[in-house]
Amino acid sequence: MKPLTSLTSVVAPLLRDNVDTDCIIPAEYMRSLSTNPGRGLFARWRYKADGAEDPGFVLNDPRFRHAEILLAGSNFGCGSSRENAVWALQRFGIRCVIARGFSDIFYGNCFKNGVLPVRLPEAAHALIVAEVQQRDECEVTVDVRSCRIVLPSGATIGFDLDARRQAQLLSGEDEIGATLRKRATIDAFRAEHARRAPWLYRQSPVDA
Amino acid sequence: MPLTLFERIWNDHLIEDLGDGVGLLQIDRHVVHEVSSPEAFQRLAAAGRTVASPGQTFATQDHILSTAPGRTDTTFALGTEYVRLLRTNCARHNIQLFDVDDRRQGIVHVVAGEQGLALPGCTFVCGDSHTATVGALGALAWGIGSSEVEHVLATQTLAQSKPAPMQIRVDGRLRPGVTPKDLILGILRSFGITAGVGHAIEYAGEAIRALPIEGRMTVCNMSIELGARFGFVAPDDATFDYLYGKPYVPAGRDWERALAQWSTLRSDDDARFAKVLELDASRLKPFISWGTTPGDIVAVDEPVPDIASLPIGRRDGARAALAYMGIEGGVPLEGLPVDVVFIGSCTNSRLSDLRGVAEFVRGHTVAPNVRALVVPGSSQVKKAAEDEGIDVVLRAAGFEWREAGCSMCLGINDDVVPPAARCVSTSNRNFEGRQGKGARTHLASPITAAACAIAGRIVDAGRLAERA
Repeated sequence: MKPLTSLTSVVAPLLRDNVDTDCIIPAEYMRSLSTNPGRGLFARWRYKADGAEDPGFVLNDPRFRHAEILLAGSNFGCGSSRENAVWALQRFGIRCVIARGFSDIFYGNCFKNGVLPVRLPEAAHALIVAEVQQRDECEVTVDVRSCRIVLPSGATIGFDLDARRQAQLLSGEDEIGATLRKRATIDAFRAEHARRAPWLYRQSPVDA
Repeated sequence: MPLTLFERIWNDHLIEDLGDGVGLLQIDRHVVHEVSSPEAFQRLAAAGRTVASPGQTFATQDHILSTAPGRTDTTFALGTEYVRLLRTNCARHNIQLFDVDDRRQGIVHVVAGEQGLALPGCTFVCGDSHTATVGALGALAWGIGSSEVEHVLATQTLAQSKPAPMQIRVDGRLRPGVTPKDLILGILRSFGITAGVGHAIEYAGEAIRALPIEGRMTVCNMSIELGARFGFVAPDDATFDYLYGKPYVPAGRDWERALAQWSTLRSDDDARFAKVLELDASRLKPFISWGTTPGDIVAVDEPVPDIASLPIGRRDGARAALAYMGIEGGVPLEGLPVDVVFIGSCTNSRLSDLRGVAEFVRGHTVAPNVRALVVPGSSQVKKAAEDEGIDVVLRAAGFEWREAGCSMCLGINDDVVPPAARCVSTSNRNFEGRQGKGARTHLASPITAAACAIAGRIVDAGRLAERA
């Protein structure tokens, strides 16, 4: 996974609440394993009925085509657990989503792909919204090390990020590798658990 | 220290506290399906890793597989790649697969109940957000992403942020004609779609206790629509009766030992929940969704909310939802013509759902303007329904009787609602475009959906029955 330490980019505003993962990537863009998920990103809003880009949609605006930061409303990424939603954002080029809240599954999926979800309280969120709306192009810096966002006005906003996830983003480490290094602890736990609940470890053989 | 049931099961599976509120948990059961697993298997192979505990891993084909009568791998051509990859991956890693032509095939959350894969007090995960369905059996069950699927395959563990325990208490009794689906839609209407974010929901109270297991599954299924990954009901005699004798449920001495343990699975009387919400079941009515989030719910016989009556922060969203749905605020939904009726999905596709529908439609016919589909939740449900003649009743009434799968709930295969068509659906999500581009979805119970199919428009099932 590509590490993420700091990011400076124009902010693309998509100020809707409850943007669900079906909207982030509709199911029909998941019908082939070889399709670039970035093509399906926000497809319902990004493309018109004839398949042409809708110039009214934020990511079709020349100012935001290369935005790496998306500013959303509350409860972003609700609904389906499809990790394709994060893959779609990432393949499009988005590496950070700032919102007033995220669904639990989407929030977790972001970190597995080097995407930073920043959850902000209403007042701090409003501060960014105000600066984005004042400017044609609002460029901000999001720093993972200091957990701060620097706005064009010079104002800074701190955000919460637990140390474990922060370290994961900074190092781009393989979480599975880290777990596998605990194999002795896991095996000991399983042996003891199997004594307490042996039926969970006894399985009929796989069908021939 | 008094504990909630959630904390009890969590502690019982906690291998190591990783700090920051994250625990490394032992996973007892993992079920994979064809759509959220290929990337996980591929990355596992690329890293030179293998499946840690194939005996605790199961698989089924459900999401993209066609549900057309007599379907095969290739009936929905774009899905063939997924179906065959799952088969190859399961064979390579010695994972039990309920394959396309297997009598046990079906929607993962239906199969997990009827095969006894989910057990009280076990940890159960699947790459699907509706995994909490089997929380109805007292399992700690939750939906995960593909990277987590890979983590569980490789280690049979998961690093999971610990949610806060929450209780939703529903006391009183449901009135006749009010179903478990109406109960969960009522909860969504009262508390909204973010009430459960960051929480694990224990459903409790007289009305929950009174629900049969399949009804509890319908309720737990939509926990994710409340924003919660976890939702469950403490096991009781109804749970044990349901499980007894199922294929993967422990038998003999194991059953006796398991039962003794399962009987202790409850929250202590003085356990503390971070949040408690209460609802009176006797006040619930048949509900239906009007907008594009599952919190946009009204009683079938009530008008859609007037924009001006909503809090300011919700007005823009509601306005967009009304425009998308082609309806007006302040006006009843009843009477709106319906184009499609979908009875199926992990929420409402079990035998009790289909029995209720068959009983309701006997002697009626589907209105000529409606395409009505019934998609059993599993091949076993389909067979059981056919043994009772349910398929004959439904087909005679004009319903399509299809093969088991997720179908029109998510529209990833060719079971889609056409643009601008109005669909009354027993599924769980009414998001913009969920059932197809431009599709207008109204979530409802199987009985309400059946009534709408017959009337050809949105109608209160009780009123339709009175007139008949």
